[in-house]
Amino acid sequence: MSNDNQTSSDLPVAKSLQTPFWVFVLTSVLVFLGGMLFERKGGGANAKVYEPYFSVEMIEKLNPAPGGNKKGRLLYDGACKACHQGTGLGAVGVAPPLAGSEWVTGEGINRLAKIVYHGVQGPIEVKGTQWNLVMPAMGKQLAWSNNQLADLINYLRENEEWGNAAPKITADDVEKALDGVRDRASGWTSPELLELPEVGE
Amino acid sequence: MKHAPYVFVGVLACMAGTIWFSVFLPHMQLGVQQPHQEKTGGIYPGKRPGEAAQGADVYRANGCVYCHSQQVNQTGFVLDVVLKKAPVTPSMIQALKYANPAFEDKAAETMLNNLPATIATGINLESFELIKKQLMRGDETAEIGFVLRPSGADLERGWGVRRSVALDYLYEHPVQLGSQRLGPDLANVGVRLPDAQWHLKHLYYPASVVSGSKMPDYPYLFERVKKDTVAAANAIEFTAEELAALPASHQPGSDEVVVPRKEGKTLAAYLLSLNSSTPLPSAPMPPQPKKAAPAETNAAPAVAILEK
Repeated sequence: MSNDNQTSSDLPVAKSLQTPFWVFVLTSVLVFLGGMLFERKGGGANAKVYEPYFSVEMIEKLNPAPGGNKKGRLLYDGACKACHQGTGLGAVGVAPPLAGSEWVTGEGINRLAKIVYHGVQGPIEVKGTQWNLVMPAMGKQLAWSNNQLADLINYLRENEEWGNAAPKITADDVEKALDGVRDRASGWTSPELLELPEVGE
Repeated sequence: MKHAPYVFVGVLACMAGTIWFSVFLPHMQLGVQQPHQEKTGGIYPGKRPGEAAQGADVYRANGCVYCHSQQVNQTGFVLDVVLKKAPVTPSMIQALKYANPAFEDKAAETMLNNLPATIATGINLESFELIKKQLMRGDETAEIGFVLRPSGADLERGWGVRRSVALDYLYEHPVQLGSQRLGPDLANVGVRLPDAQWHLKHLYYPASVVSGSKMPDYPYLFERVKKDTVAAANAIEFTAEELAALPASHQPGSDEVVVPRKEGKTLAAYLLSLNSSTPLPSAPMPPQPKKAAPAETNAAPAVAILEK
C-alpha cells in the first residue's frame, strides 16, 4: 500500500496485545450457560411456546386431545366434515344437521348405519325441517369395515360438543343393520327408512 | 487500507447476522402464523367489525396507548387433578389413597361414588403425571383430567383469563401493545366490561362511573343535542347519581342530552371488540362458564368453551 513508505520508526506503533486466557474461558462458560438456559426454557424457539410454558411437549400435554373416540373423529373429518361441518350443524343447501338430529341420536342404529353406508336421497325431515338433497354412499365408496362404521357412528352419537349423548353401539350392531342389504346400489329414501324399525332385530 | 477484504467480510458478516437473527428468524417464527381453527368451528382471531375497526383509529389518534397496554402477562400455572370416571373397586380406593394420603377408606369410597371429583389442587405438571400414573394403576379404565389455572399478577387483577400471545394481534395494524400502565390493561376489556353505555359514560367523564379515576375526559367525542330530536335516540342514559357526579362544564342543559359523536361510538365499539379469552393451543386456559353474546351489535363474540 502507498502508506507503507511514510511510516517512520520514530512514530508509536500499535503492538498486538495478547488477550488474557481467562477472558476466553469466561466467555465460553457464559455462552454455554446461556445455551443451556435456551435449551431448557426456549421451547425450541417454537411460536407455540410462550412463558411460563417451556417446551412443545409441555404445551401438548396441557392441550388434551378432544374426546376419547379419535378414530371416529378422524373418519368424520375425512369424509363427513366438508358437508356436515365441524359443528355438526350442517349447512343450508349442503347437508342437514347431525347435532341433536333424531336420525343420529335414536335408540338404535338400524337406519343410521344404512344412511352412512348407502347414503340417502330425496325429501327427508330432520329436526322439523324438510331437506331434499343427495348424500353419497360414503361407507360403501370408502369400503369402511364394520369397526370403522361403529367408530364413526359412536362419534356422531356420543359427541358432547354437539349435545349428543346416545348409547354406544358395537360393530355387531352395524353388521345386523347392514346384513342382507349390503349390495344395494342406490341410496335410501326417507319413507323406506321410516318403514324399518329403529332398533334392528 | 491494509486488510480491506477482512474488513469487508467482517462488516458483511455483522450485517448478515443482524438481519438473520432480528428480521429473518423472527419472521420464520411468528410471521407465518395462521388463524386458529377452534373446535367449535370458529376462526380466531376474527377481523374487527367495521365500527370497531374505525374505533381503532380513534384509539390511536387519542393516544390511549400511552396509558393503556393491551398485553396480559402470565408467570406460572398450576393444575387441579380431576377424576372423571372410575369404578368403585378396592384397588382404586388404594390408588386414591396413594395419590392423596389425606384420604381415608371411607372418604375415598364416597368420592368414587360421586364422580367427577377434584382430588388434588395446585400441583405442577410432573406431580400431575405421577398422580395420574398412580391412579391408572388402580384401574386402567380410570379417566383422569385436569383443570389448568394460569397465574400471574395481571390475571389476579382480573385483566384476562390467559396470557396474550402473538396470534392475538394477527390482524392489528399497527399493534397497539402499549408499554405504560397508568390505566388498566385493555386486552380483554370487551369481556371484562361488556356494557357499551358504561364505556360511553366513562369516556365522557370517567369519574362519573369510577370515582377517583385519573383518566382524562374526552368530551369532544360527544355532543349535546336537544331532547325530542332524532339524534337524541342515541343519548347516554345517565342515572341521577351519575348526572350529579358530572361537573358544571359537562352538565347537559335541562332540555339537552349527551350523544356520542361518530368517534365516541366507534371507540366504544372498539373497546368492546377487545377480547382475548379464546382458548388457544399456545395459551391454554380453564374452561369458562358458557354465556350468551352481549346484545350490542359490535360486541365481542361469545366466549368459546374449552372442550374438557
